[in-house]
Amino acid sequence: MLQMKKTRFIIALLIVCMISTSSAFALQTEPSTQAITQQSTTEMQKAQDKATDATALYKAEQDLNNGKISQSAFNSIKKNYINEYGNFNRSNSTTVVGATAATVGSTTYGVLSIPCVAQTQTWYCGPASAYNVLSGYGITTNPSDGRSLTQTNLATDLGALSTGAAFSGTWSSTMNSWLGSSFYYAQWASSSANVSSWISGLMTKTVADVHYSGLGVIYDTHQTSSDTTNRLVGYTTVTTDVWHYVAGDGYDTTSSLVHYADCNVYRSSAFGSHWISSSIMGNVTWDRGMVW
Amino acid sequence: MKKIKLILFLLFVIPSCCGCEINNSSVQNSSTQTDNQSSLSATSSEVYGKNDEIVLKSDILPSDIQVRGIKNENNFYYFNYKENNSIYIYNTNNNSRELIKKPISNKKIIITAAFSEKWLIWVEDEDLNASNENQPTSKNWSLYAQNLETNELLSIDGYKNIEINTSVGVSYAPEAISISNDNFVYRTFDRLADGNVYAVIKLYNFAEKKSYIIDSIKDYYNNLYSDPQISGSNIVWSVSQLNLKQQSDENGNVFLYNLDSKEKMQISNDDETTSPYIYNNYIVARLKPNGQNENSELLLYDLTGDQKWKSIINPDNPEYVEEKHIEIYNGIISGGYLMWSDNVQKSLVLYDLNNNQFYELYASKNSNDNSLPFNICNNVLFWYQVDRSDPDSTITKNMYTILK
Repeated sequence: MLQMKKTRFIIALLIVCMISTSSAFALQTEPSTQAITQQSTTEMQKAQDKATDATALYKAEQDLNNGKISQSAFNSIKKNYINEYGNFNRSNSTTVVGATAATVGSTTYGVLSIPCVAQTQTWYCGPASAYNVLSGYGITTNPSDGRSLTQTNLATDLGALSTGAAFSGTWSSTMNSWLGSSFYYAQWASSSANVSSWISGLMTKTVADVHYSGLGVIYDTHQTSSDTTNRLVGYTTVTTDVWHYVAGDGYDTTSSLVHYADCNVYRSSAFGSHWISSSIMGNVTWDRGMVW
Repeated sequence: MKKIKLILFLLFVIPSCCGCEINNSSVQNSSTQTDNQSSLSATSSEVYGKNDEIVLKSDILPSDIQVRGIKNENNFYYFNYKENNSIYIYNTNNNSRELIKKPISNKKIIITAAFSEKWLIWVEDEDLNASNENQPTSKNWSLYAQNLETNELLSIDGYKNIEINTSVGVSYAPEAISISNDNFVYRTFDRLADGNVYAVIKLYNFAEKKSYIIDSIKDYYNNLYSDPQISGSNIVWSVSQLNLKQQSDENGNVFLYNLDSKEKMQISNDDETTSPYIYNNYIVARLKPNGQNENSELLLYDLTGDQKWKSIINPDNPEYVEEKHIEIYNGIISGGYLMWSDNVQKSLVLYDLNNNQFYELYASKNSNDNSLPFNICNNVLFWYQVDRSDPDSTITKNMYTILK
């Protein structure tokens, strides 16, 4: 499986090279895939570092709950994490259920309750998901240039004005520009050794962002026509491959569930906020990854 | 709390809504707090009928057969996703596969289809998933029908060079077709006599070879149709309003149109009921509390009964008693059985409208032991059994069950 994943990744990189030489042509002749771009080595490393730090913090809180480490030791680890990545919790714009009890270990449940605004174009699931995450934090304008938070402006930044947003594309720079902080990284699922470790890591990343930092995440999903069991809510009967971004804003680790906002208004059972198992979310993001 | 709700469900909901009986000992057992646990398991098991009352046979299909319709109990229609979703038929007796229909245009894929004994109806469209991400929402869709006996091909509808301007994206092509006897219905957009573009519900009649507009909405910016469903002379659909600034609230109501009387009635008034499905005299629809997906329910409406909506599938049902954050949706009635989807995907439960009885066709053993229904066509249920105990090698069985 790992070898296959690496092979697919190499093929993906080759496709990126082809796209980079003639992007318009390539997009028209590769209709069954979502565009992808290569990350810099630096960004890949930073994403990996953040994953390592988030995992350590999450484990530290579990160790605290189990009496394996002291409160002061946990506080020190948490302080270092917050200093590195920031704490964006805002009592007036978010409701992180577990946050108030974080010091006694409430990584089990948290929902930011971000908005779920529908996408305004059929290919705007990326911009709309970004809009929902950023507006959920209370952002209305870009702190550097004053532009209003709109799906169109986000589509411009994501390179998605006429086609779907690429992954990893400009996701991290776009999200960080509007956030005004270097918080977000796009992370390929292929950075994990296998599906099971990706699923586990997806939950940890979601908890880290929602619980410790008060921000939502972006899941980049691929639901295939050949696999009707790994589908988001409302997509069971879809007959074609579906590449689709959704915004993650919550978790329930006791039930292994993640909470997400689906901006796809074309299916009423798909549109809106949903809970789904982290296993399914991990499987449908396995071809791409997440922005967190 | 959930257990208390279960008891209330057993005491009140089942007898009042379903008409089935619970023996007195179960009711008495559940009346005290201390007896709850033992009575729960005993009573839960009694909620379900014995499967051999309704199941004729279950078997496994090849993994690529996602059944969209059936010709009979042995011949199933499916899309071949490797060949532009061409429609094939799979014979379970000899495992043979036969091509029934390719898209008329070799540049398109089939995105939805409906089947009757006499007719095959399908929509084909360009495959623009790469750029559109969600669905093939090309404007270049076409709707065809072919007589399965004479091979007569009818070009019925397609894109009419209209532009839809809304605050949310729209799908130009019909996403679902519902057929009953000589009629089928679907939703799309069209320019009507006043020159304006409307969201419309269309009916096509094969006997007359003529299309009718059953309903239309000029303010389609703020009102969304569900996919209409037809059974006999009755057509149902819902109209929803989305609150896009908050938590994706979807509020709506259900409408019923009778082809004989040509009367349209609004049959729900709570602003929370959407996505109806009709089978004979029964209508099932989804209740979204406060417009939200979580804790959604399925309601049942009997056209020949007291014509009141009754909750039939809800988070207090026994199969959900240990679950949280439950969403219930996609209620479909066929062959007298009610099938539905949920985000739990554990046990597979079916409701028999003939005897108002629930049947647990598959009992999940743990959270990694999943089952989920895919489709029900007449008396054949299609579903998946999924073993997720090893995420790196999920085992999926593509099942079908023939019901009595």
